Amino acid sequence: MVDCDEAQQYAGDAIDRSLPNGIGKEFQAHLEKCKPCRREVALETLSKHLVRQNVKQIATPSSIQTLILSSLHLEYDQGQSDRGSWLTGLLSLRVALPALAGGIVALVFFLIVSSRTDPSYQMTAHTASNDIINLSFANFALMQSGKMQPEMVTAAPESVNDFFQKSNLQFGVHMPKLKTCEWYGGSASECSGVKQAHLLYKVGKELIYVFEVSDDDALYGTQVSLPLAAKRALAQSGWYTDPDHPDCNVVLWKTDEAVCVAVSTMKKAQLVALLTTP
Amino acid sequence: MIPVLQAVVSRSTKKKHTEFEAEALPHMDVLYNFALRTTGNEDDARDLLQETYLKAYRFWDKYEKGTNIRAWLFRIMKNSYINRYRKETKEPDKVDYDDIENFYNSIRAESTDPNDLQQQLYGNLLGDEVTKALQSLPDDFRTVVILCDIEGLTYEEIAEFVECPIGTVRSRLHRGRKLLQAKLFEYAKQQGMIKGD
Repeated sequence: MVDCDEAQQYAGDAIDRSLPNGIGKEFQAHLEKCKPCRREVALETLSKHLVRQNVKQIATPSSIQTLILSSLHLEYDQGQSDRGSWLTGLLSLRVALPALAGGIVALVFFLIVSSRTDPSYQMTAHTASNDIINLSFANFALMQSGKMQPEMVTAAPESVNDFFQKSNLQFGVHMPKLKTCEWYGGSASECSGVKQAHLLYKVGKELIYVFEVSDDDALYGTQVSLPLAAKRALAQSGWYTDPDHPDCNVVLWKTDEAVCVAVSTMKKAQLVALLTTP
Repeated sequence: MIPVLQAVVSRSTKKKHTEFEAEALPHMDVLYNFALRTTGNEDDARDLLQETYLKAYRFWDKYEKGTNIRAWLFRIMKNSYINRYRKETKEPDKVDYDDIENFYNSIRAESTDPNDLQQQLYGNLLGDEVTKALQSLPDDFRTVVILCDIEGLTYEEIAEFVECPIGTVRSRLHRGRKLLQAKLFEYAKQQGMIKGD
């Protein structure tokens, strides 16, 4: 049997649903008989209820998010230069075995030449003007008005793939193949050293514009950037839809080499369904 | 620096940065809320959050992959808070438990229904007062109340966060809730929302 002392002891566990196995029935039986203990539990329940009801969860303000991200970027840059100094210092000591150093350099050289060209990995703070989402909206508006036109238009998606392969973009362009698409358009460009792919789809009465840059440029570049929320979502799930532009219908996704931004007047759910259907 | 070495350093730092962003940044909101409740104002919460993330980033190599990242971040935040704010406090918070017991013994609450009790004890108390009362709790009590009643963590998780036995968590939670009620009751009396004895 649970007595008053034990009931007091288990009151919190009962409220927080963490009563030890086998205690629950005895605890309830005691409460039914003991008014002071019932009141004690009711008061503690009330305290929890008041806190839960009145103390709301607050989203981290975007200014603080930006501050944190900028601080981390500074640390990132600092980390690179510090490690570099350390390695340079170690080599300048000339105490390491030359053969070992030679072996390390050879191994490193092999790793580097066997991979893609290494970018500087300097990152920049996110602003409205370097936001890839904003750039995509601007490009989409130019496409709609005809001020920006694709370099090639075709009904065969394979031709668009061939076009990008010959464009020397240095990242794999991801081209969703949409079953209901009437024609495809493609362009390649470069701005401030950032290579860009532009795809245009005509689906019924709707246009879908897809803007692509390499993931290095999008996530770590100096010329373009993404909001923190987008980076988080892309890192976690590979997908992101921007809640700040509910009417603009933008969907982002990440591949192994690129970050892609699709913009359309099409409803967001329809756009997502279209892009995610194999 | 030799270009090849620069490239290796960049690759290694990039990997660390990517891992950190993917693992640690999703917990920013819960950390910010905890910092806000703990420090009581946005400026200090911002500084505490920034310090926490910078320390976590610098010591990312110490984090054991696959373990509870949130617990690890909370511990860094708690230690940062202690170093930053408590070092200015000469004496730990004191709680007069007799006052709390007197409150419990004096209230003439016949009902055991939480809604009736709320109206009877606190009248139309607003959320701001609850936040203030929570803010005024001693650190140790406030922490467990926040983690349990707002963040919804289990006793085991809280014990890991505050590095105390579960029994201590249970005790602090019980006392913290009682103290919170005593403060709210006193406030409601002062505001004339209820008739106090």
